[in-house]
Amino acid sequence: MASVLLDRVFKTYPGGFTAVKGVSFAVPDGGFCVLVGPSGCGKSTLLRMIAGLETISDGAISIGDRVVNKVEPMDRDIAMVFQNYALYPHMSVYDNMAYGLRNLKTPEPEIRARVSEAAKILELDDDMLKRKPRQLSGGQRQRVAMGRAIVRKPAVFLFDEPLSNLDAKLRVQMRIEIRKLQRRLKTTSIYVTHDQLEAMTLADMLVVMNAGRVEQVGAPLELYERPASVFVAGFLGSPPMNFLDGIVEKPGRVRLTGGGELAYDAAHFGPPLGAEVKAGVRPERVTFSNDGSGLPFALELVEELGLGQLVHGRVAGGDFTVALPASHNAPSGEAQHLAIPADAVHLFDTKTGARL
Amino acid sequence: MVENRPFGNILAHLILIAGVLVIVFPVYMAFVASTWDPATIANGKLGLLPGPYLVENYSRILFEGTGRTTRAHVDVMLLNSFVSAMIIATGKIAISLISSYAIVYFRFPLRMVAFWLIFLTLMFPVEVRIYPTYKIVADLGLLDTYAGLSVPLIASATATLLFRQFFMTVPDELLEAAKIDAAGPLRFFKDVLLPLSRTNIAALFVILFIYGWNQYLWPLLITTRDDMQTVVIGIKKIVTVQDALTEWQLAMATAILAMLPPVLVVVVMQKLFVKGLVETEK
Amino acid sequence: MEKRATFSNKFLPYLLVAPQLAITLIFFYWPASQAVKESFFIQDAFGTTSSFVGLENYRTLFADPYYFHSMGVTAVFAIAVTAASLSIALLLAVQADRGIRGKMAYQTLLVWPYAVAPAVAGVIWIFLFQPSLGYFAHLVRALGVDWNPLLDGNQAMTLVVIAAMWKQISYNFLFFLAGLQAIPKSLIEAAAIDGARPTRRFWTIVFPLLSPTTFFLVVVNIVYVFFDTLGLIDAVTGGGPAKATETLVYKVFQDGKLGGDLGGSNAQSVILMIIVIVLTSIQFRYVERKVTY
Repeated sequence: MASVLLDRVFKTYPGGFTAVKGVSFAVPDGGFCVLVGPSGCGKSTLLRMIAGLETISDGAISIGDRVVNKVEPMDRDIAMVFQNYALYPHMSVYDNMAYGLRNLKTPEPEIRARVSEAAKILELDDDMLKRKPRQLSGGQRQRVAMGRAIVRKPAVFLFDEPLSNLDAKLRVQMRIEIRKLQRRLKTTSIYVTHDQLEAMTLADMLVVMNAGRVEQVGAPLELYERPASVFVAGFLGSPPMNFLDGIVEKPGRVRLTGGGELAYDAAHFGPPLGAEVKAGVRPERVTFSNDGSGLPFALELVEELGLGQLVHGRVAGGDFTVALPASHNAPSGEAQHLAIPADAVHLFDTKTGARL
Repeated sequence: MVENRPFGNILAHLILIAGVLVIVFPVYMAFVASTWDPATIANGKLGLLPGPYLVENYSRILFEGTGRTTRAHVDVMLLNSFVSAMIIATGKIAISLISSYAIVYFRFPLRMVAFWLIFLTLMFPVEVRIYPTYKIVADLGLLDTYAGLSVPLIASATATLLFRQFFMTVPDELLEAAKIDAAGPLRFFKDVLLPLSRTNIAALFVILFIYGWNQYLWPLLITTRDDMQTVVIGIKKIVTVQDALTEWQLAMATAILAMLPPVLVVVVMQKLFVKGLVETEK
Repeated sequence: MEKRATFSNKFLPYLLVAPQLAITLIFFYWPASQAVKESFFIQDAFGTTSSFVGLENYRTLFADPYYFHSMGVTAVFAIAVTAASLSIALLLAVQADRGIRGKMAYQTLLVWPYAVAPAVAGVIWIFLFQPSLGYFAHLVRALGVDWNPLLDGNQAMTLVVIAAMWKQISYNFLFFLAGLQAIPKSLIEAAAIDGARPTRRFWTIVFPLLSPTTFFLVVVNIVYVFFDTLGLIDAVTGGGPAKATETLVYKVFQDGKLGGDLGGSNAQSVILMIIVIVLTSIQFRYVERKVTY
C-alpha cells in the first residue's frame, strides 16, 4: 500500500516534443485515480512514467516515501494491466500469472497459493488456468491480465485503457468488476482511459488532462458540477454541455451573440460587466416552456433512447441539445422555447476558457 | 469460385497433371536407371520400369565405393553433407537470432552501422569473391575441415532480416510486461522471444538446411581430400561427361541419394518450407 | 519503424552482434576488398610477386571478345530461363488456384525440385540427353535432330536452359500461388458481375494485381541464373562446347582456377559485384515498404 506523488513532472522526447508539461497531483493510499483526456493528451505517457517504462525528463515521481525516478520497473512495487493485455502467448494462464513471481525467486508453493487465490477472486477455474491466452475470450484475457497484476500484491496497480478492446456490453460489466475488486483489495490504483463515462464511474479522484497539462483534479461529481474550464465542462458528460457565446450585460444576465438573453446565478459567478463569456448549460438541466417564454429553440430532430429522449435543435445560431427523461413527451412542432434555470448556467472566460 | 464449370476444372486438372509429369518424369527415369545394370543402360534399352539391380547398385555406392571413377564412399559424402548443412543452418540461425535481437531491442552507438554491415552482405554472394575468400580460409588452415565448409557461409543478411522483421511485430507491451515481471534482457530472450520465434526458426531451418546441403562451388574449392567431399560435388566426379563409360546406374543412384534428404525435408515439412521460403524473400 | 521499449545495457548488445560481425568482416568484407584491390594487380605465373597495373586488367577484359561473348551467353540464358519458367509456373499456379480438389497434392508434387541441388539436377538431365543412351536424346533423334550437346553449342545451351528451368518452376509456382491467393476474391466476383469472362478477368484484373509478384520473380530469377547455376553448368557442360555456355560467373571461376589469371578473375568479380548491387537495389526498391530503415 502506498500513496503516489507527482511533482512537476515533465516528459520531453529526444525530438523535442513535450508530451507532459509540469504535472503535479497526489493519489492517496488506497485511492482510485483515473487519468482521463482525449488521445494525445499525455495520460498514457504519464502512466508509463509512473511504471518506469518511460524516463522522467524533469520533476519527481514518488511511490510511498521513495522517489522512483531512477528505479527499474521491477523494483517499483507496481503491476500493470495493458490495453492489449500483453499476455505471453506461448505460456499457459497459470504460467502467465506465475512468471513475475518466479523471476523474483518466490518459492513455488507460495506462487501456487497466490495464483489460486487470484484465480478465485477473478472466477478463473482450473481448466482455464491450463489454457493458452489465444484459447480465451476477450473478457477472460482481461481477467488474466488483472490476475497477473493481483498475484504480485503490488503497492500500486496501473491500468492502461484496459477495457478499450472489449465490446460495449462487456466493458460495462468489467468496469463494475474492476471497481469491486479495487474496493476489496484497497490497492492504490491509477487508471488511464479516454472514455469519460468509464472515468466518472470508476474514480474516487479524477484527473482531467489536456495537451500535456492537468485541467482539473477532484471527485468526479465535483468536476461534473463545477468544471474549472470549458475543456472539462465539454469533456465530461454525455451528451456534452451546450455552449452559447455572449456578453455580460448586467449582473445576472448575459446577452447572447446570436440573440436572446440568459439568466445566471450572480451569487456564484462574478464576471466583470461587458466581459465576453461562454455560457454552458447541461442538456439535462433544460426543459421546454409551455407558455412561449424563454429562449427560442428551432427543433430539428428527436432521438429516442428508451431511457429518455435527446432533442436536437438550434438556439441563437448554435447547436443545442436537450435531454428529457422518459416520462416527458417530446414537443412537436419546430418552434419551441426553452426554460433554463439560472443555477444551471456556467460561465467561462471566452479567451482563457477558465471558469469565472 | 465465381462460376462452376466442370470443363474448366477438368482442363485445370489436365494441365496440372502434365506439369507434374514434366517435373517428376526426369527424376523417375533417374531412379529407374539406378536399378538397372550398365549394359542395359549403355545399349539404350532402358524401359520405363525399375529393374532388379536396386539393392546391388545402392549398396555398392554406399559401402564399397564407386570403384573406377572415385574412391570415396557415398555414405561418407552423405555424412559430410549432413554435418556441414547442419552447422550452416544452426549456425546461421544462432548468430542471426542474437544479432537481430541486439539490433531491435537495444539502443547502442554503432547500432545502425552494425545493421548496414550485415544488410549489405546481400551484395556479396560467394561467387563474386571466390578466390580471396578461398585464400583466407586457406591461410586460416581450414581447408578440408568442417569449419572451412560451413563457417564462411553462416553469415548472411537474410536470416537476420527475417528475425528482425519478426521481432518488430512482437508487441512492445510484451517487453514492458516482462520488465515489470522482473525479467532482464537474457531472460526475456530465453523465456519470451525464443519460444515465440519457434515457427520462424523451424521454417528458416528448412530453407537453410537445403541451402547448406546444396552448396556446390564452395565445397568444390576447399575440399581436396576424398573423405571431406560432400555428395553434391561427389556426384559430379562420378560423371565424366566426355566419357561414355560413366557408370550411369551408380551416378543416378548417387543423384537419388543426394536429393533425398532435402526433398524429404520439403515434402514432410511443406508448410514450414513454404513459410520459410516466402518470408526470407520478402 | 523502431521499438518503443528497449533494454539499456552497455556491453550486451555488442556481445550479441559480435559473432555475426566477425564472420561478416572476415569472410565477406575482407575478401571483397581484396578482390577489388587485386583487380588492379597482376601476379606472375608462380603467384609470388604481384605488381600494380592500374586499370590494365579491366582494359584487357574489355578488349577480350570472350568476355562479351560470355555476357551474351548470360543474357540469353537468363532471358530463356526466366521467361520459360515464369510462364509455365504461372500457368500451373492459375490452375491450382481455381479451387479444384487436390490442390495440396499438386503443390507437393510440384515444389520439391526446389530442394534438388542444381548440380544434381544437371547430372540427371545430362543422363536423359546423353547422345548415345539418353531417353530424351533418342526421342529427339527420332524427330530427325542430329543431337549432340557435347559438340553443338546451341544444343548445349538448350540443355542447361531446360535443366535450370526445370528446377526453378517450383519456386516461381509457389510465389505465384501465394500472390494469386492474396488477391481478394471480392474483386474477381465484382469483375464477374461486371460481365468479364474468365480470360478477360485474368488479363484485366488478376495479371495486373499480380505484377509486383511477377516483377519480384523476374529479379530473383535473374539472380538465380547469374549465380546459382554455376554448379549446374559445371556439371552439365563445363562451360563448353567452345565456351558456348560460359556465363559471367562461370568465367570468373574458370579464369581464376588453379591460380590462373587471378587479376582478371578479380576484375570480373568486381564487375559482377556491381551487377549484384544493381539487382539487389532493384529488388529492395520493390520490398521497400516491408523493410523500413
